[in-house]
Amino acid sequence: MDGNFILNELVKEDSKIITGIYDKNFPLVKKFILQNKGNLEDAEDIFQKSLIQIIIRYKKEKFAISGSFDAYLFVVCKNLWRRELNSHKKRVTNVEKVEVRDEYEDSSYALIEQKRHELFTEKFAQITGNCKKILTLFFAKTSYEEIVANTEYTSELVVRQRVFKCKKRLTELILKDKRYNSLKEL
Amino acid sequence: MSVEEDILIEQFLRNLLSDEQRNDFLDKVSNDVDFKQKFLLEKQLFETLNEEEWSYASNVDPGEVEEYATLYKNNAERLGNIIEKAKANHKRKNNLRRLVYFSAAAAALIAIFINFYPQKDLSSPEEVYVHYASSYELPSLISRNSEDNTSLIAAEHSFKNKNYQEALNHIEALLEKDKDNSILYLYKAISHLELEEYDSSEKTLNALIDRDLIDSEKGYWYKSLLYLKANEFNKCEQMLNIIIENSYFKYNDAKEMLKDLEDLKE
Repeated sequence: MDGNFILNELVKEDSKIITGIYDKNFPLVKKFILQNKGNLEDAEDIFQKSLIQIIIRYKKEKFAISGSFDAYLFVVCKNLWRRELNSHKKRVTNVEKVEVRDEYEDSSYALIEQKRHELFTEKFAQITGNCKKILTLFFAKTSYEEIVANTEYTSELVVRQRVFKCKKRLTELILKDKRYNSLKEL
Repeated sequence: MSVEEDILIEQFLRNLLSDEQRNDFLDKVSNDVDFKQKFLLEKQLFETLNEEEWSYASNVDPGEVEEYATLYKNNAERLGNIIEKAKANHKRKNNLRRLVYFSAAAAALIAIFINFYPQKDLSSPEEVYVHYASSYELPSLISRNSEDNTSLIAAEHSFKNKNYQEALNHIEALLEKDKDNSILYLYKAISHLELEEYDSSEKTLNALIDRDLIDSEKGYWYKSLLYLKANEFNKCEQMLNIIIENSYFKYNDAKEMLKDLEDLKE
């Protein structure tokens, strides 16, 4: 079924439709969160925040999704949980200053971060297979030595040059997209 | 961006700079707007495309943030309540599904238990009769709409107290007025049966069957009990086969009773 059909149904705020979405999608989200350091309460909280995020975003910009609604909702839930886990990590390690915001302001930032994530992953999908492969290793902070060992590239210098070119292509695609203007850090 | 700048940013993000280099780097970020933009984009890429991390927004377009915050303020509570309702529905459905699952599992266990430990050990036709006739499962004669509730109460009261003759007196009077009341026929047939007036019982049940009422098919089951009690086993089996072939009232019991009777022959 077209993902936008369910999206359009969701924004009608009908609890019956939302129950259907809950029945179909919550088990997978719960499984993901339980397997990633969370509990049932976390899963329910993330699921609720994700649905609210989608509805709020739709109220402002009537956006459309390209794939299935279920896949889209799962990504939103996964990203909110990633965000939550990293906030916790930041609070514990105190590496970066954690800004104090009210709940609604923080949710607004989370929504903008989700949009930025979508833009970046969309552009990442547009670069070549080779670039995707090498940049995935690079962004995972894999050392050049390991990249050489695990790919067909012959030296660290070649890898550096390749990473540089692939990153340039990716950043060009992002900067060219006007959506980035409202998502970039000032 | 030059290759040198690219390497510098990467080393900063990989935490490979000395304290001094780090300070120089941060100075450059503060003073060079272009470099700052390059650094921030690269940082966002690192954090977004690495599954272990997350790219937080901290200094984005304030108008955009404010617009979303207002929407959250005006809608989040209401939406939260709707989603809570959906969550409750989901949980209720899940509990019901679990209950059905466990009931089915329990039923399966009971079935296994019954198969391993047969609950009945019927060694004579009398025992078979007592087993199946222990409860006649007759519906009450009394209904809210009945005009003649006093007589119906009296008939049922006599029947329950095993005053079958007295019960028959009431039932016959009632049947005169209400010839299509199948329950009255059943009470009458069983009263005769209990009084060992088998012919009268049979006639009554035949009358019920002939009247072609909704409950007429029940007549076959009570006829099978009648013949069993009267030691007319062939007739009893005939009735049971009619019930089984036509899937009449007490179809499963009929199959079981037929098997019990066959077991007695062995």
